[in-house]
Amino acid sequence: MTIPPLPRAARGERPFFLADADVERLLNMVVALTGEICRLEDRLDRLERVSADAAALEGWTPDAPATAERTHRRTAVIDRVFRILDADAERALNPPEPMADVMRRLGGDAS
Amino acid sequence: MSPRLGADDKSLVDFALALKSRLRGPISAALPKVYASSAAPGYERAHGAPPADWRQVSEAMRGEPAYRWWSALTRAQQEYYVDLTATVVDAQLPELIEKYRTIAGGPVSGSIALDSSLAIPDYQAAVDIHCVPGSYFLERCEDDVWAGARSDLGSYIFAMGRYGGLSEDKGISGARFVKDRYPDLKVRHILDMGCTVGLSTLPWVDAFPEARVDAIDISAASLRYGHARAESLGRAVHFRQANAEATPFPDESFDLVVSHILLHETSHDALWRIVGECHRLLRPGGVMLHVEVPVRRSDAFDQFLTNWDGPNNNEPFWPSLASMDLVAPAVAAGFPADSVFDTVVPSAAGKPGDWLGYGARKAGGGQ
Repeated sequence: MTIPPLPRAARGERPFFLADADVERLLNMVVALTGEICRLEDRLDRLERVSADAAALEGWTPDAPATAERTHRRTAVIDRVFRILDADAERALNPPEPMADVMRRLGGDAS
Repeated sequence: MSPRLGADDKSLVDFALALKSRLRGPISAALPKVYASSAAPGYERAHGAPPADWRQVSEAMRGEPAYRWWSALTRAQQEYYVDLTATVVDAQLPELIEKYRTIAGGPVSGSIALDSSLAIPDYQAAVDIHCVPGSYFLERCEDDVWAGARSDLGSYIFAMGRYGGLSEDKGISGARFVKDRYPDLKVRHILDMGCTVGLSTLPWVDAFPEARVDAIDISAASLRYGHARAESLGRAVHFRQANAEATPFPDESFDLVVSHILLHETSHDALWRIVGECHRLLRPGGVMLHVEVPVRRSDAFDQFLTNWDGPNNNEPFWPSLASMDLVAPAVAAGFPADSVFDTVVPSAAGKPGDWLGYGARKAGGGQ
């Protein structure tokens, strides 16, 4: 089954709150990177508790399937960390209706 | 039927939850102080009076660094958790579709009826609600269940376990509310509007085991997933793809019409039509109950914080709902004014803030 990739941008204007939107883009990357650190911490902890053989760990090299898995994982990390740039690119191609207009239209006389 | 979390996924989910908790801690606790000591006095100097409503509070707070960073991080956290749940489910999608096909093709106690001609209304099409790319309507292959599975996983993580293991608190709380308030109500047929994957639908099956339960939504992917989920949990629910503003059911065919956190994802005009449709569908003496997010606050600053999700988490109708008079649409629909309620539905799971309960009872029926 071939399934097209997920879209990265949610339809709708994206608010930026910081004085410099680029700093906020970096914040999003920092959030994702922090997630990766937590994941690695857990993974290392798991490894150390299961295998105490440090020499074997050091001498190990990945075979072809392991290399493919590691490449896949690395790409997934980069996708997560730089997601906001993909989302910006999607919105640049398909600019959203301003949120204030949507709220006015949907709110009727209550808006 | 639920998506699985691998060991690494679990680590990322744990991180997303820890970050979310952090956002509710010292960072947000600083906001009222910043407002009182800096934003409100600044606004008063510029305008001659302190902020009087949530929009003015918003204007006053806009320049405050604490608010900017809190907002920036809150939005970043939301997008991170959405992306995490989206990709976790995406990796398992072929397997989940196979599970759906196996369950739907086997012996079932409920049913599913899809209508591919149903249009997505403007209030769902204008923006992707909750900043989920593709929203409830992403269909990338035949029998796609991605949107439903992501919604289930997302609801579970978002609630941080507070709303019960099956995220069923809204349904359990609603059913208790109805039984307490209307002990005489004979319930043989229930309709749940805007059911998504049926998280809140299943508790009604448990609360009224003699009743038939129908559930509608406009998202086919949610209904497919919801059907498989309900069957795998042994609950008979009859799912149908339909819009709550104009359903295909005959007049006076239900004793109870309910919804859960549906209204704030619609619009002013749609809400009026949905309430009108509830009245049409209820038999005399039947009850309408909408269990909603408690969106109203008496204080302008609290309302501003509560409304943050409106413009900033793609919930464009939320702030308007918070300021709407809910009695008028019910009375206009034909419900007796003294039957209309707009009150608190206590959370069975003890969720802080409980739920908002809005509804009414149709006249007649000798009750």
